[in-house]
Amino acid sequence: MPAEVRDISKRLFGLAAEFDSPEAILEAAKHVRVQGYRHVEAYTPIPIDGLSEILGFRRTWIPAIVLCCAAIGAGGGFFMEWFANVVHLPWNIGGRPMNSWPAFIPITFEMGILFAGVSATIAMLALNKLPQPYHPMFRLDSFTEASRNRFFLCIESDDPLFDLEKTRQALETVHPLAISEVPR
Amino acid sequence: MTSSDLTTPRIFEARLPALIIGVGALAICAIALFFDPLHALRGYLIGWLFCLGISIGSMCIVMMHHLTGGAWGWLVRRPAESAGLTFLLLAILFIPIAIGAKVLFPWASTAAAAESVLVRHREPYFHTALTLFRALVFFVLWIVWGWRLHALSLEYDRTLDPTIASKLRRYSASGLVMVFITMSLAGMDWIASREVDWYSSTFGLALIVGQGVAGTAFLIVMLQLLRNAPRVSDAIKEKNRFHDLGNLLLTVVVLWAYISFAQLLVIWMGNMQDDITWFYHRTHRGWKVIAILLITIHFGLPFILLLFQGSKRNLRILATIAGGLLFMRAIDVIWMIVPSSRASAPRIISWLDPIGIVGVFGIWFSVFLTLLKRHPLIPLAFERVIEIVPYGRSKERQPAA
Amino acid sequence: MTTLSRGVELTDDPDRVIAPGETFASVTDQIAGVVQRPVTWLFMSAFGLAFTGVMMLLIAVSYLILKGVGIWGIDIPVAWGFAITNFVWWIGIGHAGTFISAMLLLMRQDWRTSINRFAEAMTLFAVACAGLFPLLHLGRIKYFYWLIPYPNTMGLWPQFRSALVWDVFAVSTYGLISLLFWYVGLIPDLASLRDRAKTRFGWMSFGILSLGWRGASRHWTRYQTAYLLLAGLAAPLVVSVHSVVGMDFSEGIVPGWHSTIFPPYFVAGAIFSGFAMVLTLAIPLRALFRMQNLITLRHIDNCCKLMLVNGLLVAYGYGSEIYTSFYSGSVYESFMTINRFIGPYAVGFWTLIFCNVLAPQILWFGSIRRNVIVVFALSIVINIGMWMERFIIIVTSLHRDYLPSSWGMYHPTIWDWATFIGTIGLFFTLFFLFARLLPVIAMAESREMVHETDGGVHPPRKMEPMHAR
Repeated sequence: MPAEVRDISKRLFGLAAEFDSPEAILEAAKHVRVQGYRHVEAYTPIPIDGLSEILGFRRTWIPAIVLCCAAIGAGGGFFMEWFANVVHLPWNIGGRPMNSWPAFIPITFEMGILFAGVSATIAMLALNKLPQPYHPMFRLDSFTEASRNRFFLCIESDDPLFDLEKTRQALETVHPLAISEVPR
Repeated sequence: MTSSDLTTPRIFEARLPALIIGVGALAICAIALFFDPLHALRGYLIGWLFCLGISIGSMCIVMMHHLTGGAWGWLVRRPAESAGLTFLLLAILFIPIAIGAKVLFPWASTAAAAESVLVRHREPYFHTALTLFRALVFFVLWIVWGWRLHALSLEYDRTLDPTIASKLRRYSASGLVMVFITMSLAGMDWIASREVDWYSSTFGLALIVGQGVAGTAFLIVMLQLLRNAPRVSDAIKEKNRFHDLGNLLLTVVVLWAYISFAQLLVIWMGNMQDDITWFYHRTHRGWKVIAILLITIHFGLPFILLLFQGSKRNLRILATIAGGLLFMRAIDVIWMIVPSSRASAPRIISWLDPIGIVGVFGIWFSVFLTLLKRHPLIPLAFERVIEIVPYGRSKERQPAA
Repeated sequence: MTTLSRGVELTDDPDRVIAPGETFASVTDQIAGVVQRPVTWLFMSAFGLAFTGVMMLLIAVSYLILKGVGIWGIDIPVAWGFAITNFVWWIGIGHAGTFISAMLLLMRQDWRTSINRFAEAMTLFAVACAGLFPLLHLGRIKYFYWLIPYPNTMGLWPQFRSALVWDVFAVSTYGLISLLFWYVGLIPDLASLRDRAKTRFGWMSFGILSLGWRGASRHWTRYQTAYLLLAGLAAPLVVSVHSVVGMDFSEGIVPGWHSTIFPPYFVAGAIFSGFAMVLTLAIPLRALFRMQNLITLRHIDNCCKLMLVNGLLVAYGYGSEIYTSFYSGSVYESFMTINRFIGPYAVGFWTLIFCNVLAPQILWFGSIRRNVIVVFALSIVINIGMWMERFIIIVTSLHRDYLPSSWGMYHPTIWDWATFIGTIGLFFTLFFLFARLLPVIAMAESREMVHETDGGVHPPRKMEPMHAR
């Protein structure tokens, strides 16, 4: 990597283009991906279906993680009941069998849901690397509108194709409202 | 009607064979009547209740669709309405049951009354004539609603008149209330009362949800059988549409399991002789195997399979699952009917039980197909009501209720 | 589609879930604006009234801890009085929030957007109020942790065959999952508030709470997956929780309790009363904060329809119980029913029949469903009726059970009333704080609504909405 480029990526996080509609940013995202940019991220006030896939997002592991945790929770819940009421403290309640499985189902179910729900939240935050109080995009003054009605597309400076002039031109062809440099 | 609509799917060729097989099987039942009246009539009752379940379930689905909307309902509306039209047939087929009530039901049997104080306690409500009169009332209501839902839907097809749509919604709302009340009472009359030493306040609900499973599964299987008919194949091109039928099937299966398990748990934990007999008879002497089958194949397996998108977006797989559930519905009806028996008689499955199911279902299915064939398989209003948007999601113009 | 100009204000068009002409910016500004507006005199006095209730609750609870549960009217045979009635009532109210958020999301009922956030908050506060009662009812509150299974030197475990232990798991799971569901839903909105904050303190606190949310597309995708999963988990959870509450009763072999329909019909009753409370809150809220464009008559209408459906299921439950008690041939069962009809608590029974079965039938008429005054009044009637239902189930079943020699009556004391009214104060205090400090309507989802329903401002959309996945 030439020294000049390294300099830019030290100084700049990327180049951000601003749009005012989901359709516009979808078009723009497709355009820059076709041009070969890889390190691109979009910041939008609403979820836009297909946008992350265009930007190279493959699949999320959350469902698999949640399924495993649900199984662990439910299995652990039943084991806890079985161990407590069959092995460790067997106690005859009205002649019901020690392993009263129908009576153990509700807690098994609740524990499965508990583990699944907590793991879904934690997995989502962890995979998103949140909480993250600081991010270079927050340095843009207009970025407060990203949670209102503006859609940002940022080509990051560590992209192999990143070049201040060429990237700016590439972004200009999709007619953004504004293009700004995002400092580190 | 377009000319292509006249190309009939091959399933309609099954009308005559189904009728022949049905009549043949019932002839066997009729012969068996002379040497084994209990089992002959019981097999017939099982078959009849199985078909009733499909009809009631299908009618409920039509009514639910009128109230909630959604593209999925249009795919199965005609078959569901046709199933709702079969109540007249079912009423006629009820006649042998009414005549054989003495053999089948404790409330009609003087011997049972002599044996059990509970039968005598229920005598005023279960007086034979009164119980049969109730059956008559149920049939009249079901026939009227089935007929009106079908006729109004055809009229809507012709006119697209919004007042008819709102009339349909009114019929549906009141119809669902009507079915919940009548079917719960009918379930007590025709099924629960056979287990004399037992009561359960949620039996009617569990039964209706089970019939919902039967209806949904049957309609999905019908969709698969009709898939090659021209307008049907166009309508099911959008996978999202029958995908929702899969979701509906998942919902009713889970609901059935939930209510059935709640019923089991309350009775099992209570462990009182007043209301334990139902589950006692149904979990002992080999019936345990059937009970486990019901848990695993009526709930566990379809539940897991239907969680995956793939099995709901492939009509063949979905219809296979639905077919399995329909089979399990028959098993469930057997499980509900057979173990209830007078103390002297054995509580075992007879070879006449499956014969009865084949017999009644054969005739019912043949009549159902005949009714279905009279009108376009997909309502003509479908294409006009559904606004097809290019990316697979369809909106309905009529206001979703 | 016609282009509708901005400025069309209130809409009575029943099909709209959001008024025409709204834009991404307008909904964000309007909802966030509520949080940033100065407090009004009306708000402060309502808050003060509710806070007085909290003070009363604190006094009642302190005295209870000091003296023990003897200060309440509970005794043998009626050992479950107001406390359990209130517990079931509150937890039932809490069910509508999750029902709206989870079930309606899964059923793609997009109208839920405007009401889900405050309904979820309502759930949390109702669960908080509900959770108090079993704990206070324990008697020795300091040993509450004995409910939780943990290895201990006494070698004891909770009795997992008991529905009361199921309750501990069900209610605490429900509280936690509802909190997560609510919070995950709030994250993008907290980011919106962070970006609109006018003070440094507001900016800091919303900044911390929003966890640094920046709306990155990959984040959104995972977020939506997690949110849908949470909905898929919360939907069966909501059913299980009130089923377990129902089994607290039906597992006991007391006539009037041991009924198999209790689990499903308690769920229906919970959602019924929950929707009543949603309407009790939503109707003043939309008037007070001028949100008729976001909480439209369509929302009121749909809530009424769902309330009617659940009310009919509840009525079915009553009918089925009465039918079964006579069908059963058990003298205890039929006596229990007759005792409810004409016994000492008959007034309560007929009140609940009026409130829960007869009164809701007016909802069959569309004109009534769109009359907010009538609907508001009816929602109060149903709240009362559903409280009465739990009271009747608990008290009439206990006060005359198998042994006539131990029959008795239940007389609530002033402390019963103080605790009950105190929790109502707590509920409204929390709700007022929420309405002031956090957005009462989901902003990000409202923006999605705008995107889906906009009147030709943008070219036709090419995407499926999140609910259709």
